[in-house]
Amino acid sequence: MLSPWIFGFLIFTLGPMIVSLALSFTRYDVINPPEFIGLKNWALLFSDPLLLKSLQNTFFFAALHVPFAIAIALALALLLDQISRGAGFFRTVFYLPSITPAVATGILWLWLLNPQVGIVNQFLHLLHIPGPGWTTDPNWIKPGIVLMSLWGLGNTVVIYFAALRQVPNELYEAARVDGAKPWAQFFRITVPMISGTLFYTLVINTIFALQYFTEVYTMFFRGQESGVSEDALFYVIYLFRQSFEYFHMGYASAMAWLLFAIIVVVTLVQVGFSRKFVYYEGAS
Amino acid sequence: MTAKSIGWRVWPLALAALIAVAACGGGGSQSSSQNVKIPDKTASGTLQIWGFGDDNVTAKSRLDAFKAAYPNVKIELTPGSLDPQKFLSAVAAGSPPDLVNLNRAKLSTYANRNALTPLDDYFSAAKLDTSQFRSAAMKPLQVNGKTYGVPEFNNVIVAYVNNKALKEAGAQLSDVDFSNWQKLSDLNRKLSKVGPDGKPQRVGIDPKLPEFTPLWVYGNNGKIISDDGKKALLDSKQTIDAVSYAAGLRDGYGGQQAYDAYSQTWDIFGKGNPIAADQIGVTLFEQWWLATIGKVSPNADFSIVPFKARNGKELTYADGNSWAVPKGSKNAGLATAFMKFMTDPDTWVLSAKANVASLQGGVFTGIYTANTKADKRIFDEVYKPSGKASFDDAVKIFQRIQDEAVTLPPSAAGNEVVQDYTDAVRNVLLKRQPADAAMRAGNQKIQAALTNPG
Repeated sequence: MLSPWIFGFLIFTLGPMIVSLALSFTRYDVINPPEFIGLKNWALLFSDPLLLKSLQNTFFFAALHVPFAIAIALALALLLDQISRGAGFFRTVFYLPSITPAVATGILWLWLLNPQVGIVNQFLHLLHIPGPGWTTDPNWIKPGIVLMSLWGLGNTVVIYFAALRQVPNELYEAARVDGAKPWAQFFRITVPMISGTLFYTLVINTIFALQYFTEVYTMFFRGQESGVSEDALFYVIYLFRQSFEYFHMGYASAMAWLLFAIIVVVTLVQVGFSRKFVYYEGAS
Repeated sequence: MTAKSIGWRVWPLALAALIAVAACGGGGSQSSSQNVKIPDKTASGTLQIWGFGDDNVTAKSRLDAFKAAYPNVKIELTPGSLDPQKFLSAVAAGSPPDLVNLNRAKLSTYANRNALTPLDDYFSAAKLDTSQFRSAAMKPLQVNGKTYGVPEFNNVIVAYVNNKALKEAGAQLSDVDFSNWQKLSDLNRKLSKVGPDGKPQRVGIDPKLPEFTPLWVYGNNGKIISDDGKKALLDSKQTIDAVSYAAGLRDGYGGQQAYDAYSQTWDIFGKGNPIAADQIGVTLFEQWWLATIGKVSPNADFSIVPFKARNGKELTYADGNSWAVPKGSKNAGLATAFMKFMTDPDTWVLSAKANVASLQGGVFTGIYTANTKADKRIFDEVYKPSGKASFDDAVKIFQRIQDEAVTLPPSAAGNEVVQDYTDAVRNVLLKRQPADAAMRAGNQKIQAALTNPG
């Protein structure tokens, strides 16, 4: 049963990973044979200021995106869980943005976030709040991207909604009998009972954030000469630029492995913390 | 929450490419002129072309003419800009298309990596006279002493002037003088409009930085890189002064961030384009915009003024596309016949007639083909003045400055050169660095890319 999957994994995942590790020790432009250069690409990783900047941008984005994504998706799922009529309609509405093509999302949000005529700043203007330069001010470009990234929370909402439905009602009934307030019920029952799901989405959202690419590339890097320079340069965009615009496949392979290592470390740290905070039914 | 990463694309491609390179041995000798055969019109077969579509009259009319002349040749098109990932993978795997159409500025990057076939022998065999093409269009196609492509289109840069704004400011067309920076700064002040909220309501003079950096630099007798494509020259006084001055024009209407926010709202291709909507006083722009304005705003009140170097000479920067044959193309002879046909004066004239026939109330402003003979015939045989001074005067200027064009020399790191000067100029525009520091930093990056392009 597993053999087709194993075959696919070896050919399309593990094999290319091993080859890319080998390529990271070479100078390689796809056309000409790779030339072994030892650790030069790896040494360059630690002295490339743009790589450092792209890592900073990416971590900044992940640090904002992940908690906001989890909190907002959970809030929406709780709302969905409370309503009985029209729940299907709202589930569909919340899910729709996540099936919008990423390129369309990028173009749409370039307009929504336009500092002069964008709907976001128009709304802020109604509240007498001066709207920032979401797409132009180096200090606001990344927060603007975070705002855009929250558009596609539908998947997380649906996962949380399913998890909330699994929480036994008896627990809430017993809590109510004991006089527990809604907040206490939420923190003492809901959160522990869905903590496994919360942990899963924490890991997945973190990986997603560290690999964020398409929407930002569409918004700011479609035309090479009109990019916003380094303010929106995320790690994978820089990796793409090194590989497919400059044809530095060896360096790009080293970058890919560095990102892989970062994701592994971050995930291991999250797993370590999860032992304290995640409740698994039936676990000893 | 689908992981929209490219990691899954990079790794399989790398594996496929490595296997392919190993299988091919990465070698192969070039054809000598004796071995090259150019098929005649009875030829049959399939010609796979990437980076070219027939979704516009100019392309479709030429393609239809080729199909009629070579009835047994089947054409398979992959439209849109040439996808570098797909292209390089195909070349590495030994299954490239027969022919590609790409931006001329990108050609040297591929040629330097042996992804393209040198075409001198093919041109000799096909009796394709490359001297008929404009020198600024041929220059990017000649890499390390070999010719790698046939140019089509010569897109030059000029200044578009909003006459309404000019009148309102009490200025004359002669005040739009790019050789006199003081005069230009005064005009920028007069034309610019900024609202009480500090947001621009009209951009006075748009220098179009960082896109048109080379034009400003060449205009001040500077260079981005040396003619042999080996040395970075971004840190010269001429370059620093040019960037510093041109970037300073943006201060006249609120600075770079205000400009970005405002310009992101412009409808470049529609009836509400920035000239018609009075959002801009003077802007440098490519000549193709005239055809767009001719279609969507045939009654727009504007003038065209050539850019001038500091010495007072008219100057422009040329861009355009090129046909090229990938390394390993199985149909290089037929591809050469196709290139020759598509860029032949007869074919261009036919295309110009098709353009005129397709006009629906718009203005025909000519086709600038990069082929001197074709251009002459189009303007002798097909073009007729519209009677609208804005368009007719513009066409005269376009014809006049075609040979005043400069272009970036070919180099092994074409994409990086553009990216690095773009980043440097962007830092000046955003006032992150003074021009001299930004240009010095950019120069170091460009030099590193030129020295070690692989």
